[in-house]
Amino acid sequence: MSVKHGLLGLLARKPQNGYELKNAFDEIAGGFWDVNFGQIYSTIDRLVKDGLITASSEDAEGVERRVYQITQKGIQEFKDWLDKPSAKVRPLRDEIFVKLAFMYPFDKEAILQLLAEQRQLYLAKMAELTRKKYLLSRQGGSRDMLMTDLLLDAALFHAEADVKWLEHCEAKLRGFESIQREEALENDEIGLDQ
Amino acid sequence: MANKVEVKDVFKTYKRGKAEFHALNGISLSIKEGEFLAVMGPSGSGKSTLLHLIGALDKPTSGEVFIDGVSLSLLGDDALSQIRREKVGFIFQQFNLLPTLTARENILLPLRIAGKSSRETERYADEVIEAVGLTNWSSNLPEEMSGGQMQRVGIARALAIRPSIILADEPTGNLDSKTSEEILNLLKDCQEQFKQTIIMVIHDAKAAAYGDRIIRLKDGQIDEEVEAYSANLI
Ligand SMILES: Nc1ncnc2c1ncn2[C@@H]1O[C@H](COP(=O)(O)OP(=O)(O)OP(=O)(O)O)[C@@H](O)[C@H]1O
Ligand SMILES: [Mg+2]
Repeated sequence: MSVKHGLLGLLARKPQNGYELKNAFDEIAGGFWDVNFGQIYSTIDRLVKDGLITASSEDAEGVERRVYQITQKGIQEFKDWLDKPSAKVRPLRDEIFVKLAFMYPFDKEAILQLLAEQRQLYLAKMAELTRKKYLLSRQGGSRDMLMTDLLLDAALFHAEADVKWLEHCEAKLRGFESIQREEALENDEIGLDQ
Repeated sequence: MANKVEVKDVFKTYKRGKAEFHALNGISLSIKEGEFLAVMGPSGSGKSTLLHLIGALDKPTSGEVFIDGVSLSLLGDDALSQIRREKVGFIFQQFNLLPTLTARENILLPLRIAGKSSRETERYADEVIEAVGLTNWSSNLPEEMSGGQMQRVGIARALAIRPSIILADEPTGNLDSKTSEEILNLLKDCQEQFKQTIIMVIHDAKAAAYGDRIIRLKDGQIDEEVEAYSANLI
């Protein structure tokens, strides 16, 4: 999902202001993709410029707010995008990959700690999403709810894969550590022999 | 809220040839009434052993297990089997069904053994049978059911006695993800509606996320603890 198409999809449901869009986006992205207001507004500006949405003003308690509406062209763009299969595999854009690349093999303990903390964070996040899913399941099923449920599932399946990968990393790092230790021992023994 | 279960400095030691092996190596843990605890950890880390000790199916080598504030080590065999019959619903890793009884008979068996079989309790059992999706299989024998269906019989049997503690060992081990979700929602209902305390051993993170708290065992010790969601306990 791109921010652009996410916003188009949200506006296809109903007109909304920037603040509502940000909240709705967070809801769909399941808290696993941080978009800030800056990104939301710069994407909105581009969508307006491209004629995919229009802005109108609403008066909220004396404060003027801009409300956005999807255009016919925007709906077409969104539909075209929906119908196209996604060729891109999910990018590994997590910070942890970059950290891992730079940290190993200099400080194994630190990296193990980082992996564990990351895993715990994911578990806590997954519990939060699961809670949402459970409450949703107990409200009975409208179509919108099913869609939200499926999106939460997507976030959970991805997070589960990440947790598995993190565990896998830990196990491999630990294993590697003991191999290195054995190698070091062997080298010592060779040294003694000479 | 009161502690439903307390595990204090528990060791479980097995002999391996001449050597001693600590399946549990000093575990302390408190579980609040109405809490849902998920226990993760690699194979052989002591998860099932811990569950067995809490369910009074086995005794620690040293240390104590308390249920509702009562130390199990002070209880005689009769009192222990009463706890097993009335307080604890056990969902086993291997389903432990009686091969000559139908699904429904297996499910009703603990009620009958406890002398708690009545129209009311059997009606509740039938509700559970429906909730786990076994209505059409209730008169099948275990050998006539799939692994997933047997798993559901095991779950229904544990829930039918309305235990105050549910101990579940890999309750979704043989189920596809959609069915797993249904079973886990059902366990969550037990917690939410009936304030049952749940301790669930589970491999995958997606299922563990149903817990309010997730602990990880490693080599018979608690390696880490994640407070997942506690607002509903406060
Ligand atoms: N009766 C027994 N005699 C000797 N050793 C035992 C006995 N029961 C369990 N063990 C050992 O205790 C350790 C912990 O076993 P346990 O069944 O608790 O592991 P587990 O965490 O449940 O693993 P799994 O995820 O594979 O079910 C294992 O190494 C096992 O071999
Ligand atoms: Mg086990």
